[in-house]
Amino acid sequence: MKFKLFVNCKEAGHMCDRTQYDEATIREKLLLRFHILFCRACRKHSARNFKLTKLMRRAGLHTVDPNRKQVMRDLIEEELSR
Amino acid sequence: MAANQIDPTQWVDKYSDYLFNYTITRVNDREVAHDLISETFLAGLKSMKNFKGEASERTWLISILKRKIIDHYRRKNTKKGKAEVHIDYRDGEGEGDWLEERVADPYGQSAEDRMENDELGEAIFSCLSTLPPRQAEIFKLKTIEDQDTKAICNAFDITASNLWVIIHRARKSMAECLEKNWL
Repeated sequence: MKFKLFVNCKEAGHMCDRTQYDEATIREKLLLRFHILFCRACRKHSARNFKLTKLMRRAGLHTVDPNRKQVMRDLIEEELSR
Repeated sequence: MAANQIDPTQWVDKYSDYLFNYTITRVNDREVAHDLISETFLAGLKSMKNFKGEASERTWLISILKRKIIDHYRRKNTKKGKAEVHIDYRDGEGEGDWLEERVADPYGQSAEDRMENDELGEAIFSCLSTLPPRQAEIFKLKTIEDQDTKAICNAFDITASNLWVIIHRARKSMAECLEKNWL
């Protein structure tokens, strides 16, 4: 069979992760859906994974720019070595 | 665990993002938030001797930050007050109210929403602190900053499949942790 309809849990998990970041193809999304129909463990994991995405969005967090972090680290270093 | 220790070399990695979120919901300006956090770290270094280890390092830093935020609004208000006087001499009385409103602005949206999101943020950060530092860093870049897979791979010198393994582990721990601490 050329078109693989069944994927294993590891592959499904990977597709699920990619889906969270909008990096999965339509084909991958469909394969994931299909896998989830039969696999209870992945169904549960997938639900959790989607929930995590939702929570992370809702929290609307920000992070400090990596360059700024370095500036702060240097500042602290400098102050400590005085 | 031993009593609370202090280790400034870890501050940026451990707390800067946490402090940043705390600040940004209150001052609404990334630049100002960056400055306030730097000031907080410096003030922390200066008063390190006063740290008794009763509270956690993080709580202690937040208490310094709170004062910095208040100072920031005081500074802003005095400037605004002067500007106001120049523009309009007659309206001396209404001025106070107006300033108060300005200060309260970031709290404006909906107090309840804000509170819930603050708590959620709190839970997320405490879960993040249980991850290995590198994993947490990569997860934050990918999930919060929406950075490109390629960009992160280059920055950390890893392959895409490495990245996805790291992301997978991080997501798994985060989901489990939040399930316990949030829902």
